[in-house]
Amino acid sequence: MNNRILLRFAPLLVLLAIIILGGLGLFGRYDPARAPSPMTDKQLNFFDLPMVMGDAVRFTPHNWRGRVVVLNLFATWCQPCIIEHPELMKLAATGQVEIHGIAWRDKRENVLEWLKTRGNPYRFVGVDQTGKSSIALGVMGVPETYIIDKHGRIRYTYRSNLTADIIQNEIIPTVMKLKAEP
Amino acid sequence: MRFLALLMCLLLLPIAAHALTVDTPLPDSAQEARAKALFRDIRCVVCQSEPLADSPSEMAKTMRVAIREQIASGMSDDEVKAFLVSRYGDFILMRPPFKSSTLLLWLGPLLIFIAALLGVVRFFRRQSA
Repeated sequence: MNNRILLRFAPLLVLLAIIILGGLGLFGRYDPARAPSPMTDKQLNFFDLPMVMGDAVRFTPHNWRGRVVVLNLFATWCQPCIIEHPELMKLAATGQVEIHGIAWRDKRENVLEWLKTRGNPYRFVGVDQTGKSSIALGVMGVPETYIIDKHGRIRYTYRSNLTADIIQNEIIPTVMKLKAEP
Repeated sequence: MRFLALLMCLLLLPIAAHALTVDTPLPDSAQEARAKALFRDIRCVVCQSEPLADSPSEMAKTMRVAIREQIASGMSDDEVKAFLVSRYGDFILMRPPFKSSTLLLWLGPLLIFIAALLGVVRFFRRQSA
């Protein structure tokens, strides 16, 4: 008898399960800043961009071969990048981290102006004027930050503006950990 | 008269500005058709429920240019897709691939349909008995 009642309510239970599963997908905590990247732990793809400072040298991954670096994608037209910039300045001031920048879909003169007025936390800055070369990195938008290990592999990705909290708890510890690796 | 000429020029200005942001199609019409078809199959990473073909975002624009270049350089449709999947993962494809992790996604509706069918059959059997 009990079994029969259970069977009668079975469709309702299935419906409930579907609603709960769907609801979890809808209201679950999806954080676009941490959208997974298949590039994690893979070799950073080669790119060859003009430097913001001039054409004497090119901006390529060879510039930091064998060192742990933070690679930050930004743009002068990007609002969150304005909020992020002072945090990058503070990170650079610690002297613990080598930061390189790629200006995404931007013009050289705008980037020069930006660095002059807001300060320059970067060792080198490349300009990806069309934005095409950054697709090879798996970029979803700006700002976006990667940490590259000594062997040139992407080991960390953050797809939003860096905050003091993220820098203290994730960027600096990750860089220190990777520096300690052989 | 000069004022009128200036006014005409100003009226045409928006058309010129629009031309700068519009995608340039490939000269080879067969290749352009392949590019257009790919734009329907690939998701825009900014507005994720839109294919590249419909998205007005800067990112989508950049991707359309990159895909056209890849096609012009002789890459096959599958090679272009493989390149994008290697950079962004399966989610870049509007149509998720059929594999073990997506089995429930593809077969789920069929399973629910079969279960419902069994329920209906049972119900009518009992009615007629």
